[in-house]
Amino acid sequence: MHLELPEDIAREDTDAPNTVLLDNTLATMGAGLPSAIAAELVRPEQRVMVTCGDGGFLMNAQELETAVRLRLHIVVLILRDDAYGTIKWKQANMGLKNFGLDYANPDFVKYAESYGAVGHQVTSADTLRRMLQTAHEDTGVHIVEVPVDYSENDRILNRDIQEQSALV
Amino acid sequence: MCLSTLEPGATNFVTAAAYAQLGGMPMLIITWQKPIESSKQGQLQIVDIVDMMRPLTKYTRQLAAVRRFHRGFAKHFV
Repeated sequence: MHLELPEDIAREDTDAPNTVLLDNTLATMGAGLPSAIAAELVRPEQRVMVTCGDGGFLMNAQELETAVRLRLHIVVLILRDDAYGTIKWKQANMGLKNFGLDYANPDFVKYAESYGAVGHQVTSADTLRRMLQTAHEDTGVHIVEVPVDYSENDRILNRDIQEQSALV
Repeated sequence: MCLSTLEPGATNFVTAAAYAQLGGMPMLIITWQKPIESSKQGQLQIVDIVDMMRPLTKYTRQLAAVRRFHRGFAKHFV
């Protein structure tokens, strides 16, 4: 099952400066959850949400223990495609056959619960907003699993943008 | 500020140091080291942490004596 994110959630708009930590320097996988833990420790009055892929999340997912133990309030949005999707997309763009980038995942809801966190699984785009609101209004650590379709990258980045830029 | 024990803990700081260095995030890392004058366990858990971290940090030193603590180390707290 895959779904498209509502546009206002998929875009990364912010209302205030210095409220988005977007790692475009080292751009390492696995930095999302630890960064959110640090952000929540420094700014406990603000709501903190992480957006990460399933691959990056699982590189430091053990830090859920830290977040739960410190009684932090963090919402983790996991985009699940059962692959290193960005690399797979680049691989396809280079005309290479699919190799070595498909992976399995744990059951994220059970995984969250095993740490004492709360797990949610989005099954339709209509429920995503309500699920995120519920997670933010509650306390504690929340994991929201969102199945995504990386072929959308091909449509948007390889076709739509090229078509629109050709019109300019 | 982050603390680790000796080498396996210290090598885990490599990616974190690179993240902080490129991201412009102030960070102080303190790691342990095995006894440096003699080692009854050969090379067990010994790598050159200073050389390992030098390109990822602004400043990396080994404090081999307590008297060097104040001169070489305390200034980085202020």
